Amino acid sequence: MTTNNDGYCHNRTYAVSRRDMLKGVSCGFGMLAFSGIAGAMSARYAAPDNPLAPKQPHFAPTAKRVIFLCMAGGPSHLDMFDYKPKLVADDGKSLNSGRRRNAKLMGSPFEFSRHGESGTWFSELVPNIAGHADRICMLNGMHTDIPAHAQAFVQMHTGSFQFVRPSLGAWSLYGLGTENENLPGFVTISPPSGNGGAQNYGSAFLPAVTQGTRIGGNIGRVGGMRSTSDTNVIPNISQERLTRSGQREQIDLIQKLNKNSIRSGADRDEIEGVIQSYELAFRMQDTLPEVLETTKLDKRTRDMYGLDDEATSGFGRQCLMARQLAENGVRFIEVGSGGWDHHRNLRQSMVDSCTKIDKPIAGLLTDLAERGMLDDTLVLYGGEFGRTPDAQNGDGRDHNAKGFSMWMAGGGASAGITHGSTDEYGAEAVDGKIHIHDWHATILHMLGMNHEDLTYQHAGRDFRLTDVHGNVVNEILA
Amino acid sequence: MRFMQTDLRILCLTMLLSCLVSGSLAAQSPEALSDQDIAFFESRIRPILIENCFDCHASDAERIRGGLVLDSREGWEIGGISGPAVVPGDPDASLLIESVRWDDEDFQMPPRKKLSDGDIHLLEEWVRRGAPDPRLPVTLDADSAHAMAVPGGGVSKEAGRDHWAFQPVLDQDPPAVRNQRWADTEIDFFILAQLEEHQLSPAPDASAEDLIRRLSFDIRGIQPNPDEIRRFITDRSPDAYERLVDAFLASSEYGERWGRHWMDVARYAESSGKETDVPYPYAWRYRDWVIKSFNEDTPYDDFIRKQIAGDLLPVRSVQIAADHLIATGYLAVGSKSHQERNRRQFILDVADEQIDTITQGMLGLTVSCARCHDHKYDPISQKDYYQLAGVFISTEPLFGGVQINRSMSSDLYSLPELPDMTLGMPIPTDLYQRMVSIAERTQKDADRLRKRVAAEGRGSDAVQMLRNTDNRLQTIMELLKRYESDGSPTEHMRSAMGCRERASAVDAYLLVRGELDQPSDQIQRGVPPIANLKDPILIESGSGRLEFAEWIASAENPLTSRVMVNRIWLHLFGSALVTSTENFGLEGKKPTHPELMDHLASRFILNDWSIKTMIREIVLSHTYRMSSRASSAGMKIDPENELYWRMTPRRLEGEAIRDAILLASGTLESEPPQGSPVAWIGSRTTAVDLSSSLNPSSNSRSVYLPLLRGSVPEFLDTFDAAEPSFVTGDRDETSVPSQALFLLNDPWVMEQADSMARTLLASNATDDERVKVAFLRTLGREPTAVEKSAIRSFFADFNQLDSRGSAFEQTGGIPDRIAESIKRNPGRREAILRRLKARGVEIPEELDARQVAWSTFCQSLFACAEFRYVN
Repeated sequence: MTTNNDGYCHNRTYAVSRRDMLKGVSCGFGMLAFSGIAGAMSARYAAPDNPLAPKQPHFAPTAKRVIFLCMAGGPSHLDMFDYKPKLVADDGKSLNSGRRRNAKLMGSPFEFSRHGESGTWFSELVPNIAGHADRICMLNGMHTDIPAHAQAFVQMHTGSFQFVRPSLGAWSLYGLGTENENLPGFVTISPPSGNGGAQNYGSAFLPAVTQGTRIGGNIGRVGGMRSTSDTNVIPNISQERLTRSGQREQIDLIQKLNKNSIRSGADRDEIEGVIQSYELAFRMQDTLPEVLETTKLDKRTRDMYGLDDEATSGFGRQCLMARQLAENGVRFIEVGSGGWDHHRNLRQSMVDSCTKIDKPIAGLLTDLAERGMLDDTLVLYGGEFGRTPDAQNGDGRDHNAKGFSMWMAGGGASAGITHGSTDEYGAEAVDGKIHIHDWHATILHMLGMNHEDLTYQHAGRDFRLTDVHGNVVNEILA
Repeated sequence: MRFMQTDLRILCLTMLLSCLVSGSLAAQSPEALSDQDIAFFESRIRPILIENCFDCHASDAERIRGGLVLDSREGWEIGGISGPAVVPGDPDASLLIESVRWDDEDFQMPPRKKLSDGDIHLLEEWVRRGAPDPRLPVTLDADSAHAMAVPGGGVSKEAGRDHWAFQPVLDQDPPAVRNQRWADTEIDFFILAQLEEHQLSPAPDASAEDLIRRLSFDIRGIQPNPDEIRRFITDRSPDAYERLVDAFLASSEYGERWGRHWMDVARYAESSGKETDVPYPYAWRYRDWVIKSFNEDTPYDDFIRKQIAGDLLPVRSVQIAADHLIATGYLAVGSKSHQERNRRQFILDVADEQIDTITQGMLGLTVSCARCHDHKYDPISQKDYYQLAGVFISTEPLFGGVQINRSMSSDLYSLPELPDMTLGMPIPTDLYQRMVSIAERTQKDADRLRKRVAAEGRGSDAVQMLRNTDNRLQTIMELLKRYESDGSPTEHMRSAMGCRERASAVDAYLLVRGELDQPSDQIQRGVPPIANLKDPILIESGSGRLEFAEWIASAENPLTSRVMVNRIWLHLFGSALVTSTENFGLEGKKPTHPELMDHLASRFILNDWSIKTMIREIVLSHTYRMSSRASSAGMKIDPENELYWRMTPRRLEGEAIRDAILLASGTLESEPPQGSPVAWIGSRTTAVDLSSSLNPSSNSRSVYLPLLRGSVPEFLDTFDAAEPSFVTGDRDETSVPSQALFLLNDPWVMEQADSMARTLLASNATDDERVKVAFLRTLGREPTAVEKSAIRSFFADFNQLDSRGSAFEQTGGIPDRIAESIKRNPGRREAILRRLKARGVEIPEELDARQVAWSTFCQSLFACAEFRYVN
C-alpha cells in the first residue's frame, strides 16, 4: 500500500481569499520597466531597464541566494534527525497523561548514529545527507502555530496563515533584485497544487514581477516531473515559425497595445505584470534551455544526483535544476517534494520518501561545495511541521507543530552544529526554540537584510515578512 | 417540508437500477444480545475467526485481502469488495458462508485449507441466529473520547450559536442615502450608503462597449460579437440593456459558463486522482446535467436535493428519473484512493470526501475538520461528524472502475433507453484498432502463461505474471465493450455514476483521533446539530441523505442561501462579500456588507431560488454598471475596492480566454460534444494507458475538455484552473512568464491566429478595415489612432525584416534545395514560390509572408493584456 496521503487531512481552510494576490496600489517596478520599454522602442531589440536590477542589502550578506528544499506534508523529525532513545525505550507505552493519554508511543523503527566530526545524529534513512554532517546546521527546536497542512505550509512560506501576504521568495527578490535579467529571479520547481497553491510563491501586494515562476508540474499531478527524460519541464519555451527578430517585432506590438491600455485607464499593476512577463519570457527562451541543459552531463554528475535511478531521478533532476539556476544568478529557488504526510504505514513509506530525496540532496550539497558555491548559497531543508511521538493507525504519526527539525547548510549558517532540542519524546521544542518567524528573520539576515527594515507600504501601512514578530537566531550564524 | 415517498413515486425506480437492493434482517445491536448468544460467539465463533481468518482479514493484518476485515462487527457489516460478508439470518445469502463451503471453485476460503465440517456448521448456525456479535469496540465512551482529542477547547455550541452566519436570514430595508438619483435598485442603496459613509462617490457609468463586453463574459463566458456590439451601442431605447441581459441569460452559453463555476465547487473531474488516477468514463453525464440545470434555471434548492439525494426523490417520468440518478454523480466524482486495501478505510475516506465537498460547497462549513477532533474554531463536534458519516457510509457511491488488482471498484447506474440520450463520443477507428491489437497480443501472452502455469504448477513464477496479464486483458476487454468496430458507442455506455442506498444502513463508530483501530461509541446517524439546528435529526431507516438534503435546501437554513448569493456576487464583481467563500465559520471572514448579503439571500429564496433572477437583479444594479476606472480618492481610501466605488477590473479565467480565442478565430465548435474522450482510455494501473490519445486540440468550449485529475489541460492549467481535487470557490490569479510563453509559442494558439488571419484576408476589405474587424472580434472596440499607427508600423517593420529573410523561418514543407535558394535570396522568394506553384507544388501557408504577418498580428491581439482582462 502506498501512502500518498495528499487528501487525507482536511485542515485546509482559508480564512482569506487567494485572489487578492495581485492587487495593489503602488507605482511599482513595472511602471519603471514600462518607461524603459517606451524609451527603448526606438532603439530596437534593446532590453528595457531591468526592474529587478541587483540592489545593495542593508549590510554585508553571508548568502547571496537561497535554495529551499521543501518537504510538503510534514516529514517526521523523529525518524530522520531528532534521536530519541527514551522514545525507543518506551515504545508501546501509553502516554498516561494529557489529552492523548491513551495513545501509544512509537520509538523510531530506524537506527540512529552520529556522523562526522560534529557527531550530528542522523537515522539510517538519510545516509547520504549524513555524509554532509559537518556542513549542516541542524535545528531541532523548530515550532510553528497550527498543526494543519494548509495553514502551516502557507505560514512557512508567507509568515501568515490568516492573510494573503508575499512569500519569502518574493520578499527576497524584492529586497535584493536578481543577478540574471534573462531568468526569473524566483523559481519554484514542482510546488504542491494544494496547501495554498500559488499563494506560497505569490507576491501579494509586492510588484507582480517578484512572484515565483513555477516550472515542472505540480506535486500530486501525473503531469509532474517524474524523471530526467521529462522534456516538458518548461512547456512552450520555443517555436518554429518566427525568428527572434520577427518575434521581437510581435512583442513590441503587444507591449505597445499594453501601454495603450494603461494610458486609457486600465489598472497599472496588472498591466505591468503582463508587460514584465513578456519581456522575461522573451529572454528566457534562449537562456533557460541552455541553463537547464542535461545532455552534456558527465557520468559522475548523473550519479551524484541519482539521475539514472528510477527512485531518485525525479527529485535528482529538480535538485540539479536548482544548482543550474543558482549558478546562473537566480535569487531564490524552491524545490518541492510531496508525500510526507505519513499518517500510517510509516515503516515502509518513510523508506520510500527518504530514498527519493537522500541522494539528490547530498549530491546537491557536494556539487555546490565543489563549485565553491556553498559558501554563499543558503540551502534550507524542511517541511511545514513535524510529527507526533505517539503512533496513529498502527505505524503512522500525526501532525506536530510544537516541535520538529529543519536544517540549513552554507550561506553563513554555522556548520556542523546542532541547535535546539525537543523534550525526551520529541513532542515539543524545549530548548533553542525557533519559531517560523525567527527562521524568516534569520534567513533575511543571512541575505544581508534586517527583517524589521525590509518593508513595503500598502493600504496605508508598512508591511514586513515577520509582521511584529521574529528574532534573528544569532547562535546559528557562522 | 419533507418529501413523502408515497403516491408521487409513480414509477418504480428499481427498474432503472442495475442491481436490485435486497432487504435483510437487521443485525441485533450488541446491547440486545442474550447471554447465550454472547457465550456462543465467544466460545465457538471468535476462535474460528481468529484461527483461520485474521491473517488476512483483520485491521492489523500485514495485507488485508479483498478489503474485508472480520475483527469487528462493523467489518463484516460493511464487508469487502464483494459486499457485506454476512446477511444476518440467511446463511445461503452470506458470502462468508458461501466461501467457507468451497462450492465455488473461484471463491474458496480459507484458500489453503478448507474448514472442518463442524466449523462450517457452527458458522452457518451463527448466521442463522442473526449473527450475534458482541464485539463492542469500547475503549472509551464518545464524550470522553472527544474531550480527550480536543486540543485546547474549541467553541461551545452555545457560544458558537451567536455567530452571524448561523442567525436567520432577515431581509433588510435599504438604508437611506443622500444621492438618491444614483441608486437604481435596492442593491445600490446598500452599496451607496457605505460609500457615502466613507466619503467616496461611485465611479461614472461604464461605456457601452465596456458594459456589453463585461456582461457577455460574466453571463456567457465569451466576448460579444461585432454585430451584438453594434446593435447595443446604437440602441437608444431605455430597455436596451435589460433586453441584452435577458438575451444573454437565455443563451445556452450561460449554462456552460455558470455550470463551470459550479463544477469548481463540485470538484468535478473525470478520474480518481491520487496515486492511480483511474479514469471515470461516465463522469461527463454529471457535467452535462449541471450545464442543463443552469440553462433550465433549476431552482437552487432542487439543484441541491437532486445532487445529494436524486435517487430518493419522487419522479413523474423515466426521463426525470434518469436525470435524478445522474445528478447524484455529484457524490461519486470526487478523488479516491482506489489502491486502498482496507475497505472500511476506503468507505470512510469516500464518505469524508463527500462530507467535505457538500459542507464546504453548499454550507460554507469545514465539517471534515471534525473527523479527528472537535472542530477547532466552529461549534462542530467530532460526534456531529460521525453522525453525518453514518449517513454517507450508508450510501453506496457508484463510480465503476475495472475490478483489477483487487482495487476498489463499484457498480454503475444503467440508464433507461430514452430517445435523446447520447451514448457518448465515438472512438477514432485507429485507436479502436490499436486496442484490438493490444487485446490480441495480450490474449496470446495469457495463453502462453497459462500453459506454463499448467506445466510448472502453482509455485511457478508465471503465476503472478499470468495474473497481471489477465488483469490487463480484462481492462482492455472492458474498453472494447464500449464500442462497435466502427467506433460508435455501444449500449454498454448507457451508464452513469451516482449513488444509492446501501443494502443495510449502518451507524458509524466515533473514531478516536480518526483512527480506524480506535473505535469508540456508535453514533446514531442523522443530521447533526450544526448551524441553526438545535437538536439532531435522527435517522431510523434509510441512510438519511434525503433528510440531510432537505435540511440544506430549506429556506430556514441560514447558510445555504447566503453561501450561494456570495458565490454569484463573486462571479459578477470579482470579489465576494465574504471573501472566504468556503468558510462562513468563526474563522472565516465577515461580510463586507452584511445587510446586503441578507437582502440578497432573502430575495434569492423569495424568487424560488432562481439563480438567473438573482444574476439579473445584480447586473441591473447601478453598482454593476459602474466604470472600472480608478479615482485617486478611491485608491487612497479603499485600494482593494471592498466598498465597490468602481467595478474591479478582472482577469478572465483560462476557459474564457481560450473560448474567446476560438470565437475570435471563427473556429469555435458551437455544438457541445457528445460525451467525453475519457471513455476511450485505460489507466496507468492497468498498464493499458492510452491517455496520450486524448485529443486536446478540440475546438469545443473549454468546459468540455477532458479533465483528468492527473493532467489538467495545459491551457487551463497555465491560467490558474481550479484544482479539481478541492472545492474551489475563488480561483488564483497569477501573471507569470509561462503564460506569456504559452500565448507566444503554443502551436494551438498559432493555429487559431492562422484561422483568424485567413478569414480577415479572405474579405475584400482594406487593411485598415481588417484591423478594425480584428479589434472588434477580440477586444470589442475599434482601435485608437495611436494603436492604428502602432499596427501600421508593425506591418512595415515586419515586412522590412521579411525582405531580408529574417522575420520567419522559410524552409518548411518545400524541397531542401529550393528552401536553400530562398534563404540565400529572400527578395526572390515570391517569384520562386510562384514558379513552384505553377509546377503544381503545394506551397505551405507558413511561407506566405502576408499570411504570416497577419497571423502574427492576430496572435498579438490574443496576447495583449486587454484581451484577458475585463473592465
